[in-house]
Amino acid sequence: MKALNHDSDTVLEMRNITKIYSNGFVANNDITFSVRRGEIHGLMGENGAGKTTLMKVLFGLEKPEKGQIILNGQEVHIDNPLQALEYGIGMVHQHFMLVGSLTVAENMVLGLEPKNGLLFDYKRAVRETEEISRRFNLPIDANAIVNDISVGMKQRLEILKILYRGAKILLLDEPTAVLTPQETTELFKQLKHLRDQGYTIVFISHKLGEVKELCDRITVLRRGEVVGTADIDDVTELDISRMMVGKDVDLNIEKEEAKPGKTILRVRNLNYTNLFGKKALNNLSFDLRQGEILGVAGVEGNGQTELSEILSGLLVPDSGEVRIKGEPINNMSIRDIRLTNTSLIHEDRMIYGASADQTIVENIIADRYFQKGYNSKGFLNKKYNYDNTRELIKEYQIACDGPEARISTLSGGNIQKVVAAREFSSQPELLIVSQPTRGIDVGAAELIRQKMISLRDRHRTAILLFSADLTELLTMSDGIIVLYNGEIVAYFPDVKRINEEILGKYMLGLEKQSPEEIGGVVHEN
Amino acid sequence: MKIKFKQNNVLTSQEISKRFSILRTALALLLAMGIAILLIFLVSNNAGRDIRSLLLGPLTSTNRISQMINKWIPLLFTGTAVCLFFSVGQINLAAEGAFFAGAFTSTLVAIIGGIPPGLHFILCALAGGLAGAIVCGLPGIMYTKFNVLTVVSSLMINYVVLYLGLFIITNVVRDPAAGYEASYRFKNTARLAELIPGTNVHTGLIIGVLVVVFGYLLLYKSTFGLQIRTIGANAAFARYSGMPVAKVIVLSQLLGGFIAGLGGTTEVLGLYNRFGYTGLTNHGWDGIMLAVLARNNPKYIPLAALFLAYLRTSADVLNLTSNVPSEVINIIQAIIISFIAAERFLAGWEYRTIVKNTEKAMSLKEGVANE
Repeated sequence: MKALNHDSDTVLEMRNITKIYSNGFVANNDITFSVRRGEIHGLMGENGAGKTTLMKVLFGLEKPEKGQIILNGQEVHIDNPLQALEYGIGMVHQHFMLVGSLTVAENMVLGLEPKNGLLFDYKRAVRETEEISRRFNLPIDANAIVNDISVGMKQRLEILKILYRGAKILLLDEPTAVLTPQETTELFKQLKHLRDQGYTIVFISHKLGEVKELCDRITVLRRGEVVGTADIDDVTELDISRMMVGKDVDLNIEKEEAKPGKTILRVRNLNYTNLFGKKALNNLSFDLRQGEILGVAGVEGNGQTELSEILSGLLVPDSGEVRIKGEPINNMSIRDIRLTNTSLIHEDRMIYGASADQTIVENIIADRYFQKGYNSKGFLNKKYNYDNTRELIKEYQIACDGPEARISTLSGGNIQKVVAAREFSSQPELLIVSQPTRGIDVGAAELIRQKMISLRDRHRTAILLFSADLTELLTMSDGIIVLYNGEIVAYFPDVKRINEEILGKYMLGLEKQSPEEIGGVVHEN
Repeated sequence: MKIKFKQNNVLTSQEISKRFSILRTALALLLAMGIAILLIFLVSNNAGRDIRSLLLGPLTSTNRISQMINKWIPLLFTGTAVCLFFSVGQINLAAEGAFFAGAFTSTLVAIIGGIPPGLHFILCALAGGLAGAIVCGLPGIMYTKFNVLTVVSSLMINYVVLYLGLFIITNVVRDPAAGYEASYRFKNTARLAELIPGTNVHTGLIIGVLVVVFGYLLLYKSTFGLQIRTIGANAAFARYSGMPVAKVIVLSQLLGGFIAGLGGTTEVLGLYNRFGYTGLTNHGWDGIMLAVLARNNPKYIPLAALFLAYLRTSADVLNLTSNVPSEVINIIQAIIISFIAAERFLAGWEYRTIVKNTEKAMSLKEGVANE
């Protein structure tokens, strides 16, 4: 890599980019950023630091207020993604932009369909897909329907799509967020292969380990400004995290041994068939005890969402029984479930977790406005509610204009802090929580994790933790169950004995424990 | 730091947005007036007089002022009712039918003799309100139980109500002695008293103001209103937080319907001595327009309704005193409302102002930091 360390190798430079959104939020403030030909450049920063915005500017999706883009020494103006592609810049978004009901080949050529006279030439589309997949050594089944292929394959398709459109510079926005460890390893191999063929890659991430493994250089953003650029060999993970948050972050959560008490949540023989007739949950049985964090691991789409939604009362199971503190929840409304002193955090923050157009106060009191103190005789106690909210804003360090700030003006991490403040401040006996730190910055994630540990220790809260972040699962949980195809395929009573690799094997269905081992998660009969 | 910003006259982005929404309304009015004046120049044979009538006509006599106030009263009811519907996220268009139902149902009670005054009106109001509640509540129930689109069912129910009402009036309580298609005379015990002697402004004005106040307190100060607004903003969130979503939707439709029905009652018992409508009265449609102008907040309904009543009275004056056709007035109304309702109107300017302001705030911040 050393041979590339000359400025003449700079393929792309963004100079003094400033982008201000219509709510006055300064996403990028005078950012200067350059990438060398044939390198993998990590663009790092907490959520809301401006990484995605900067890439959107580069890809023509956002128009900056100020700044220049210089490509191969020439200033260019990029007004839309088509122009960006003409300049050889392609972007893979955090959320896939694929048509699920079409085949891989159809998605590949979408917008550039080969024609046979007036008709779409599907055979040629398949041929071209196979050709490009061979050329880049990224095998894919051209005739498969996109809905049927794995997440890793979808990502591969996205990358192939921009290569097919002639991209030489690839912008990847948090590509590993949805992948298993095995798929991530595979992706990294592919990206390094592309780099060796002369492609330039900008890799957006806030996962330190991945960046350290994959990238040649990094640029760190904080609050819309560049903190610094460095060769990866010159910095440690601790250095990077310090640059990202501006202070030392304790990467390890300190927690004591769990002392589980009596069973709070009891699930027996739970079955659920989804709308498409797929058996999403298959005879699930487990117990969750006081003062215990039980992690639920699994590749997305193996029953976690359904399980958490049944436990929170959004879905009704086909059969089986769920009891909270001995009470069956079959006929309970969500309010009834919450009134058993249960708190719920859904994985979908902006749909179920928060109401974007309402204020922080309104979001905080949404689950408790009917209780004593929050209202008197049906009228809201404004002062009481505002004072409470102010305290929570302070306790959870929510960066905002005050209790009346709208949720839509906050960054992702701060929105999740509002959700956590609401759900944790009722000191629940049971907490069902999904993806509590997905896509949020290190600081906010750390605060939320600490709060969960303190709930467990101080209030003996029983916590069922669904998370796609295996590091989080392994550090937070006392025990872990693994879901595969709607079944519990493994139960690890002690997470200290396992690691990501072991979990990965069970998550991918390569291994399965004996019924006796799995039965260990049923503590009472 | 905050105080420093205030001294330097730097606003928050929210304050700028608020100012722009006022500016947007003012400019929309000006532009529309400009177009109106242009139109009058084109068609009028005495443009000066007619423009004066348009701008000041409603204020030129007590008769016209009271006429304007009477146009204002029913709009207070339907505007508030529609604010309730829209706040909970239901595009319920049945306020029109509810107003009509309130009018003819209270008629049935108002023609009964022997009930003491005061009590008689209360009974009429209850009958009219309940009828309105049923009309608007049904689409709400159909939506929550069977997922029927409210906008379709509520639109249709207006016509069911219209023809049912006309059937009852013409077949059950039609007074053959009236000389036209109308009900028997209302008993005097049921009618609303004059509020200001010598004009025909009636006590319905007080009821209307109370309804607006009630609507505002309910929506913005009560727990029920919090539920309504949360469901309207994000129903999935409301449900997940434990709010009884279906119940609140149905209750808010019933309540809004009651208010619209009460409006119909007040209108017929305040202004007329018989039920004489032969078709829908448009008060419900006006309510929709007002709710849009007031951004679903009953607090702004009186102002929006006054504006509409003023414009309508101007139209009447022009109609009587000039050769300007009433269609022109309708065009002017439509232009004004379209401008005000256009959220993106001036959006570019607003965006640039916010950007500039933020840059200013940033440079000040740096200045403070450097001091």
